[in-house]
Amino acid sequence: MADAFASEWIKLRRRSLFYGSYAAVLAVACLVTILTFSTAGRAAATGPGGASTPLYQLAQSGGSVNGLEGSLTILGVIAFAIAASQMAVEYGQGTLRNLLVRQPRRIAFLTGKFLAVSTFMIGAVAIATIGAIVVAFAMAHVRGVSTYRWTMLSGLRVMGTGFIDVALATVGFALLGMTLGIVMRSSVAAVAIGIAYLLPVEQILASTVTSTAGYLPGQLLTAVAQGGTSAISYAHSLLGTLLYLAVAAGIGVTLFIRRDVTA
Amino acid sequence: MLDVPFDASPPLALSTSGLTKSYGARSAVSDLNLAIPKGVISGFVGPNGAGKTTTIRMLLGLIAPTAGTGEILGADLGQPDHFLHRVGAMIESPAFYPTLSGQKNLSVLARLGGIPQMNIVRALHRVGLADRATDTFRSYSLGMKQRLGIAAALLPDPDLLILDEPTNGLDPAGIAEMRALFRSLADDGITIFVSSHLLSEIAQICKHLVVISSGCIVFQGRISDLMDRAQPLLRATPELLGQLGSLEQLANGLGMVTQLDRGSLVAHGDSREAARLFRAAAQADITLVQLDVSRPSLEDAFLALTGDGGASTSEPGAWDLEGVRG
Repeated sequence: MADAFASEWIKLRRRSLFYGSYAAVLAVACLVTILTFSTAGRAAATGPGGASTPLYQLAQSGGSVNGLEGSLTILGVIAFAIAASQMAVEYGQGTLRNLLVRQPRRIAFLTGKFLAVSTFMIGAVAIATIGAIVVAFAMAHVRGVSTYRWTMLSGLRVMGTGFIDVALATVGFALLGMTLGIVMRSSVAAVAIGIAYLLPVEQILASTVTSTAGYLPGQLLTAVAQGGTSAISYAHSLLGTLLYLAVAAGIGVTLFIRRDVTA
Repeated sequence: MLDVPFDASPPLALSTSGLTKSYGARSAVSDLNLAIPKGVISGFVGPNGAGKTTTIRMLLGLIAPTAGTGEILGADLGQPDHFLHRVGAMIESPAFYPTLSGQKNLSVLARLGGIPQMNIVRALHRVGLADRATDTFRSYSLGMKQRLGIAAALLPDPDLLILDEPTNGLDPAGIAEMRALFRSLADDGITIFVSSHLLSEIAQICKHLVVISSGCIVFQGRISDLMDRAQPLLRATPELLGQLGSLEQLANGLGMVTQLDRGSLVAHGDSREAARLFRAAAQADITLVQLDVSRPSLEDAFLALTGDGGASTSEPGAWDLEGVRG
């Protein structure tokens, strides 16, 4: 498993993938943080672009990571796409046959690969967290938001839990992505289906039939990233996410072990 | 099936018993009993779709057999992790990551298999890619990609090499180099099981041959044994085309089974029978402008075994007289 992990990281260190992904994640987190502070008003308001956060709320302990948590959907989609692509491309390019000749223990191979992709995404979230916090401080200065509570112990704790929650959710998206990559065996199909579901389909479903929000995987992962929402508690989101991930992992591992490698 | 023993009881690098792969009602590989002696270069040939790649994938643990057992380097075929660390393989076209260099591509595999990094340099040198090691895979020519595939197969210092069409895309000089490489690997005691559709290549580098057709083995053994079983063919051409019928009657009178082919008479027969036909023709005042005896080529033998006469590019009927006409 350690060998599979190290081997996968050689691929993940590809300049285009490494810098491209990290830059994209950083840009998204910073942009969402800027928008969060820019659109914040004196009171909560709902406009065509969605609900804006009131300025007084940004001055609370969790204000520094408000933008980071808000960017989770896009971070999740990026994690999903990278994981799905990293898995499916092995089928598409035919490289899986070489890999499995060198590591025939498929569970060890798959676990190592998943851990490598997960750590890659956790690194991306770490970069995004740092970027979002730096931008949050700058924007707080611009908008006259007090950062006093951010730097208190409770504020630092929120930063830490915010990072952990977003990282957990991102790893969850990555696992779903890898599973779909195994199922589809095509990067294009896996990424297209995944993004089509996570963005339009699930978003429309959650907003039109609000009672379903607590049962949709993307919504649950977003709730985990935000430490729970007004509609979905953290415990519920965590439990629901774990169930989804267990099922996804079961499907992925079973297919990967049992299916013939014909690519 | 012609199953010619290679030796009395040679130690085997690879053996299977009743190896079968079915997809529903269709059998891709059926009841395969392979026996590849240690230290030989064994050719694995068969028409397209005969089941070569499916067999190779089963040997490498990539495809689960529907039935059958086997042993590779003394380990159970069903436990590929017990033998694959001693096996190098190249399956079909070389598959690598296009944006990684050749060296990095090999690093991915070496790291995964717990193979020392120094083996990478050695393998690249052995296939003549050392000076292009840091170039991206996508910038390689087809021949270079093929060489990288062979370098990947050499990474674990294998005792057994399983190669699927390794000379595809190589120019004649590259093919000659590969031939020399395979010979030197065999000299080092490495068993090579190589599939190819280039029968001339197989004939040059292999002593042992497995011929598969429609998922079944139709010949297994020494190439020389296969060729010895092929009856020589004589071809006689009269000076006057109108005498061809009379020549055929003479040959039939001598007990030969004949066919006519493009103005010539073709029959199974060695030089002794050729001499008899020559004397009979002379007595009947038929002048022969051509009379030769030839051994069937490996390709002819292959086509006769696999029944794939449509693909013949050599002398018609050299192996199977039924294929002469038309």
